[in-house]
Amino acid sequence: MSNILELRQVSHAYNGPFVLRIPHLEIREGSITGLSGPNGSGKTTLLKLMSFMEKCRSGEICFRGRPAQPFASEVRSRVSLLTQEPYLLKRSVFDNIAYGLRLRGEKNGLAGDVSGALELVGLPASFAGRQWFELSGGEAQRVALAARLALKPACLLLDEPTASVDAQSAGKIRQAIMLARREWGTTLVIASHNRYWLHGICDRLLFLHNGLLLDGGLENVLYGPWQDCQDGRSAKRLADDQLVYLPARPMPDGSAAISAEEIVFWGSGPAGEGSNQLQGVIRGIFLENTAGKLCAQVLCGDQLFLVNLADDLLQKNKWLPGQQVTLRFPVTSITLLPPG
Amino acid sequence: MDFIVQGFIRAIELLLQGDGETYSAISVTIRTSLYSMGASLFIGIPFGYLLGFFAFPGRRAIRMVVDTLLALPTVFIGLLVYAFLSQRGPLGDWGMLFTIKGIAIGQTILALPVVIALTASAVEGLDRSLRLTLMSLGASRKALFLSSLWEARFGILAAAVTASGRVLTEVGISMMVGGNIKWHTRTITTAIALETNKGQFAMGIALGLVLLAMAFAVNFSLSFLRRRGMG
Repeated sequence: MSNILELRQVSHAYNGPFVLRIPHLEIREGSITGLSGPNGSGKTTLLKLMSFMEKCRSGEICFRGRPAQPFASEVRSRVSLLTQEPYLLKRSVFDNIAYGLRLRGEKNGLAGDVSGALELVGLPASFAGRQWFELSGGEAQRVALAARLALKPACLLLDEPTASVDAQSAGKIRQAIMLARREWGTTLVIASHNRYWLHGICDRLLFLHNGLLLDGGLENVLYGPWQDCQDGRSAKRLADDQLVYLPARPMPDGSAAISAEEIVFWGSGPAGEGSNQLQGVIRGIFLENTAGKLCAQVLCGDQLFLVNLADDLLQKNKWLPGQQVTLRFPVTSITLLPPG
Repeated sequence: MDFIVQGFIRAIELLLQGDGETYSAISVTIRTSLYSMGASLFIGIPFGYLLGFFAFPGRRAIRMVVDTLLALPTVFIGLLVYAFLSQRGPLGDWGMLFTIKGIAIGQTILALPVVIALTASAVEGLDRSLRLTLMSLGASRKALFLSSLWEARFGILAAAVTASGRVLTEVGISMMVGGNIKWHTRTITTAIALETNKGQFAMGIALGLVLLAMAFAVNFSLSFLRRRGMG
C-alpha cells in the first residue's frame, strides 16, 4: 500500500516558538489513523497542515509522492478537513452540500448527489430545503460532513468529530466515515480525545505531546505538580494520595507518559522497589480496533489509565466495570516529556 | 402654517403635472448617485475585503485613515474636487467642472470611505472557520474571495445603503463642483436649498418628498434582497 500523505522535516509556528515538529510521518492510502494528545499538543495544527489548509513554516508535505501546497489543484477537493465546530455557509443545506460539487464543475445530477450525501449521514433528503439557521448542532455537524463526503475525498481529516454532538449523531458520523472508507477507499485521519472512539476504529494511533509526535503507545500522560519524596525519589501525588513514582525529577512544566502495554493488572502482594502499584476502579472495557485487543480504563484517584488486557486473564478473573483492581507498572517504563 | 400646507399641495401638483424643472433635478440626482455608487462599490468592496480579510503591515494605520475619512465634510470634498477640476487645477484639462461627472467624482470620494470601512467590518466579522470550510470544499483563491464576499453580503448591503444615504442627501459637493446650474447640474438637494432661499417652498417640498421616496425605495429593495437571502 502506498503513502497518500508524507511529512518530511515539517515544523510550524504561529508568530512565536514552534508548535509542531514532525521529522517524518507517513499516512498509508486507505488507512484510518487516530491522533490523540492533550489540549494544545498540536493536533489541530497537524490536521490543518496535512489537509493543506495552511502552509508549514518549514519542511514539505507530499500528496501521493509529490510535494503540494495549499490551493494546489492536485489536492483541492481530494483532501478535505472537517473542523471541530464546522461552519455552514449562509445558504440552504442543499447549497452547502452542492457548493464543492459546483466548484468541481459538476452541474448534472446535483439533487441526487446531495440527497445521497444526506442519506450517508443519516439525514432525510427533505433536509436539503432547510436553511443554515434551522439546524441543531448535531445536524449542522452531519450536514458539514455530508458536504465533504459528497466530494468523495481521497483523504478526509476530522478534528474532534464527535466532541459536541449527542450519541446518536456520533454513531451516524462514525457509520458515514466508515462507509466512505469502505466504498471509496477514503483515507481517514481523526483527532479525538475520545479513546473509545479512536481505539474502536483506527488502524494506527499517534500520540502528540507539545508538538512532538511520540511513539503510538504512550496513551497515559501525567502532569505536574511533582513531589520530592523523603527517600529522594520524585513522584506524582494523585487525588486519593496514592503516589506514582518517577524515574527522575521531571522539569517543572514537563509531563510523564506511560504506555498502556506496560501496565498490568496485579492480583495482590507488595509493590517491588522498582514498581508502581495503584488501586483503582475499572470504568470501562472495550475492544481496540488496531490489533483486536481488549483495553480497560481504570480510574486511580483523579487519573484515568488505559490498560491493555489479556483475553484469557479477563475470562479467568471476570473483570467488570465498577470492580476494584490493582495496577502495576515499572518506574522505568515511565517516559519523561519536556515542557512545550 | 398656511404656506407649508399650500407648499405641500403645490408640490403634489408639480409632481403630477410632470414639471420639467423638478424632474430635471430628479434626473440629475439619480444619474450622479448611480455613477458615484457604482464607482464607490466597484473600488470600495475589493479594498474593504483586503482590509478586513488579510493581516498586513500598516493595516491598522490604513483602517484609522479610512475611519477618519468617514467624517469628511462634503464642503471640504467639494473644495478639493473644485480645486483639482478648475482650469488652474491639475485636472483642469478634463473639463469636468460644473458637470454631472464632476459631481459624481466628488460623491465617489464621499461614499468610498463608507463602503470600505463597512465592508472591512463585515468581512472582519466573518467566522474564522469560513476560510477553512471553503478550502475544505475545494475553493480556489478566486472562489474563496467571491464566496467570502457572498457570506458578508448583508454587511455589504448595509454599507451600500449607508453610502447611498450620504450621496443622496449631500449638498456641498453638488453645489461647489456642479455649480447648481438649472437643467444641467442642479440636483434635488441644491434645488431645495435654492428654492427655499427664494421662498419657493412648493418645489422644495416636492423635491424633498421625492428624496424621501428614493431613500425609501433603496431601503425597501435592499431589505427585500436581505429577506430573500435569508430564505
